[in-house]
Formats: sequence, C-alpha cells, structure tokens
Amino acid sequence: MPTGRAWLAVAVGGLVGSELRYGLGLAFPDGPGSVPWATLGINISGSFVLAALTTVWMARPHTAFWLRAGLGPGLLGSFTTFSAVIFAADQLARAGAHPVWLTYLGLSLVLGLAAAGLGWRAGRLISRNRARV
Amino acid sequence: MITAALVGIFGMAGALLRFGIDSWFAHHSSIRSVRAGGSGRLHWPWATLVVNVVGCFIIGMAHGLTAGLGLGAEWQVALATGLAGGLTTFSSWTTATIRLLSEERFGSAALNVAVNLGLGFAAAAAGIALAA
Repeated sequence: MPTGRAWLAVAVGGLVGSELRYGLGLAFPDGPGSVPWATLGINISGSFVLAALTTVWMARPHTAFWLRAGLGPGLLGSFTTFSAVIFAADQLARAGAHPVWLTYLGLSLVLGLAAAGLGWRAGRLISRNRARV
Repeated sequence: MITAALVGIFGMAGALLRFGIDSWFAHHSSIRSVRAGGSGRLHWPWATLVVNVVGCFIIGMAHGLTAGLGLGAEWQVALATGLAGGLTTFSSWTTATIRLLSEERFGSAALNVAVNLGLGFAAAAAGIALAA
C-alpha cells in the first residue's frame, strides 16, 4: 500500500482540484438547457495535462511517488469529473434536449480523447528533448 | 462559504477513496502477475470503471434525495460536486484509453469507452430512481 506521504499528497491534490472545479463552475455557470461548458473545458484541459504527465513520468520512473500521486490521482483526478458529464447528459435527455446532450457527450468524448492523445505525444516529445540535452 | 468547505472535504474524501481503490487493484493485479510467472494479465482500467460507476450512482442519488426528501442544497452540492466529482475522474479515463490505443489494443480501448458510458448512465438512473 502507498506511504502516508502519498495519501497526504492525494488529499491535498483532491482538495485543490475539487475547489478549482467548484470555483470554475461558479464563475461560468451552466445556462438552463445548454451544454455545460465549464465541465467540458475542465475535462479537456485535465485530460491533456494528465496524459502529458503520464508519458513524462514513464520516461522518468524515478519521479517521487508522492508527487505523482498528488498531481495525477489527487489534483487532476479530482479536477476532472465523469459523474457530472453523465448526470448533465441524463438530465438534458430527460428534458428532451436531445441535440444538446448528444453534442455535449460527443464533444466530451472527441475533444477529451484528442486532448489526451495530444498530451501523450507532447509528454513524449518533452522527454525526448530532455534526454538529448 | 459553508458549501465551498463541504465541497473541499467531500472532494478530498472522494479522491482518497479513488486512490484507495486504485491502489487495491494495482496491488492485486501485481500479485496475480507474480503468480502467473511475470507475464501476467494485461492491464485494463478496472479501478477507474468502478469509481466512475459508483460516482454516477452517488450523483443520481444526491439529486433524488434533494427532490424527494428535501435534502439541503449545500448537501446536494457536497455529494454531487464534492464526493461524486472527487471520486470520478474523466482524465484517467481518457488517458487510459489513449494508452490502450498506443498499445494497439483497439478492442479494449473501445470497450473502456463504451462500458464506462453505459454503466455510468445506468448507475445515475438507478440512483435517481432509488432515492426519489
């Protein structure tokens, strides 16, 4: 099982990530019956950063575990959310806003995966350039 | 202000629970691969599926409890934005899918997308129905 330091890092990351997501939701509230843009932006940016960090850490396996745990599962895991996407899509579907929930789900999937794919490559490029120096 | 504090505490609890489930799966799959002689089973993001499905159930239930039992708005936000939001993760789901694609495991990647979505919607609907 992980060390106490890793659990602490996840707790701190989880707190910061959740508050950031909550704050962004307050700053950019969802319009009634519209695509939840704040959540979409959070999930796209979080996917990019986590994928980039993942490939950077694959190239540098000696990065401290507590640091990886705090930033990955802690900060980015809590910042991004899956349940809010599903729940919002469910509610939009129940309200009969079918084009809206289909757009939301489609954008989340396509842009989220594209962001993770780009992040994955970006992390590899960064690691390669670092290794060369 | 109270709501923001509740979101932080519940979000932290969700993150710790997710990390615990992640570590449990990582530990058990490593034991299994040692027993299997090192080659082991191929990784598949089970832990992320579990937390995402449970979180969808929680967010559905938080909505149902508010509508049905008059749960206070700050507690609904604590459960939905804090606990369910902290427990579930979108970035690990997309990153794990990209990792499977990079290993040319296209079927596993497609399954990861489909099963999270399918079970997520089912769990949210179950949570709403159960609490209403």
